[in-house]
Amino acid sequence: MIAHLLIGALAMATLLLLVDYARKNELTLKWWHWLLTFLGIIYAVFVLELIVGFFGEGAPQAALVMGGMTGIGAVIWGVLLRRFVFVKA
Amino acid sequence: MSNRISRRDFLKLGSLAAFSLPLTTIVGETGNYSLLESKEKYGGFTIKTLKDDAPLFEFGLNYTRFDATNAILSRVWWDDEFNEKADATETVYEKNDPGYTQVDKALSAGAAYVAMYEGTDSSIGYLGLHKGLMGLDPKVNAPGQGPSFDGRWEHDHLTSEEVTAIVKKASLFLGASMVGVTDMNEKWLYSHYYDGFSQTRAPIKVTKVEKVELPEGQVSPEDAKPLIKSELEKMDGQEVKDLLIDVLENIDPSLLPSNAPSPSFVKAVPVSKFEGQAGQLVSNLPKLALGVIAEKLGLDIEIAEVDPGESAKPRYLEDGTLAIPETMNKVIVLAFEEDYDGIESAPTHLTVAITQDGYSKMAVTGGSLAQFIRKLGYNAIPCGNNTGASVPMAIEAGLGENGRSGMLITPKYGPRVRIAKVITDMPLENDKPIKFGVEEFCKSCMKCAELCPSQAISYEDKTMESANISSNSDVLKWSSNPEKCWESWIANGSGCGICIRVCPFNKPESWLHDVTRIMIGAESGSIGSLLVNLDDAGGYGKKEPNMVFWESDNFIHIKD
Repeated sequence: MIAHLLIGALAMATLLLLVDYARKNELTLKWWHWLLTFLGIIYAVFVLELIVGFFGEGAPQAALVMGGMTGIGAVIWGVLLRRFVFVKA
Repeated sequence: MSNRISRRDFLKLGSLAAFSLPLTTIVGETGNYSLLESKEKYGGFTIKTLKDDAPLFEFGLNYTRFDATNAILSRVWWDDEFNEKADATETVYEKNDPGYTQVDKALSAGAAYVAMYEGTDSSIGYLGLHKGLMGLDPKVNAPGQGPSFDGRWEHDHLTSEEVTAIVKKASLFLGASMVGVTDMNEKWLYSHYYDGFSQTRAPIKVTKVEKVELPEGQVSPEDAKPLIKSELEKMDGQEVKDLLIDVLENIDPSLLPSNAPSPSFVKAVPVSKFEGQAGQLVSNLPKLALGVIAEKLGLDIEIAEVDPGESAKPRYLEDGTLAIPETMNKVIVLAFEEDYDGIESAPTHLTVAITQDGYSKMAVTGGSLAQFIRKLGYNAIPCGNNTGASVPMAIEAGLGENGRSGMLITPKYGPRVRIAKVITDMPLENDKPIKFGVEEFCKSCMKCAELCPSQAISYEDKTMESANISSNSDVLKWSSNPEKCWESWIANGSGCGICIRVCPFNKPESWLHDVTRIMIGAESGSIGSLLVNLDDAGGYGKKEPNMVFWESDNFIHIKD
């Protein structure tokens, strides 16, 4: 239960930090930039829940394998957002 | 441009998402099946139900009902040649190996206690007589607990769907994990039962219900009961109690059935219990006692020797034949979930505990449900593994599909279930057979076949041929070899259950696996292969058991 709360808090904190970052740096973001950001956070939550879920049912190997496979996607998504969306002018 | 999302765009996006969600549950038709929305009870699968006129099984021209004498658990009683081979099998475990400790064996004995009660195991695990909790008659001697005295439950104000819903609710309340209803398909009834304990082999027959004309002036026990009841209800509780004690004390106890109340029991019942409930309280009394009561009440009736309703009741005939009246044309199939962590320990003695626990639950729930139905005025035969083949009956009742291992694969628990059934004449609505991708998945999976220690599970396509006499032929199915399966049981010194443990459909309930279940529903061979590879990569279904049973929940580690 506490793991789900932590994941939720982490996701919300990430979103708030990104909003704050965009405002402070006066970034010009279109609505679909925010959509991609939002989907990225949802995907990251999915990856973390996947890992927690597999550990929770006593399947550590599945947690590592599935977490690794889906986690790569989350990392790539994050890098692309940093490279093309949250770019300082 | 502003860095804000416009409200209009945000609403557009939200609407798109809201409309796209229901599209994940496609409603339509495919082949002989209609799609049904994915429900919680189906463990996340998208379920299709068979259309009414579509065939579910394919039979050969030479199909005959299976003789339970040839089942493996019957052959151990009579087939010396087979037993010699089994005795020569080398064991693969050591005393006190994990899963074989005194604790594990004690758990097995505890789990089996109800299943073994008064010979119940004859009908539960073995394929013999209906005994104990699974008997044809209720084995209770408390007044009011016998068959209904008030006649049949009047349910004209309810639809048959509502009546069925009540029976299903009772089934789940009494302990079943899943319940379905189907018509009695005589093809699945065994041609003969074999009771190893009494070395009895006799036919199982569906018998005609015949109306017997009574001699003039005689009434049947069933017709006499309401007459006696109305007279008893005119008396006060003390008078009824005294009358009952008087009658029971003056009848030779050997002439009374075992479920008749004893005089001492009636004495112990408070007078208030006899007020206005006379009918219920004498419900167990046999014809003999009813005749004496009628005489003492001054009723001018003669109770017939022959029960004209006898042929409508399930019974053993003099030659041992189990007679199932043709009117008992409904089967309520019950499935019982087996413990996930326990199955993870397969093939150790702990798995036996899990199996026996399933058998005990079958006895309690099957027997209790039969008694519930009898009290509603209908006939009921509780069955374990005996009397008919459980897997095809469960498939017809919509509980799941047939897997490569020959077992029932349910959407929610996979093959991790035990099956019981109750045959009845209660008018119930049938469930429709379901399909959720098992057949297509099993074609490419092969995990159970590859990891079966005695290679008893076929790698081939479905066939009408059987490996030996312990499996029925002329019905299209994946044919496993029960003799080889038994070798594993002997080698393991317990049971086996590896095929249940490694089956990809055997997963705990969680949203993670629901995602997989939706993918299986796509019925694609390549998706199936991908999922099997992921299953392997995730460490599921390994050859070695996962001994977590005692550790999970209890936080202890047993090393004795």
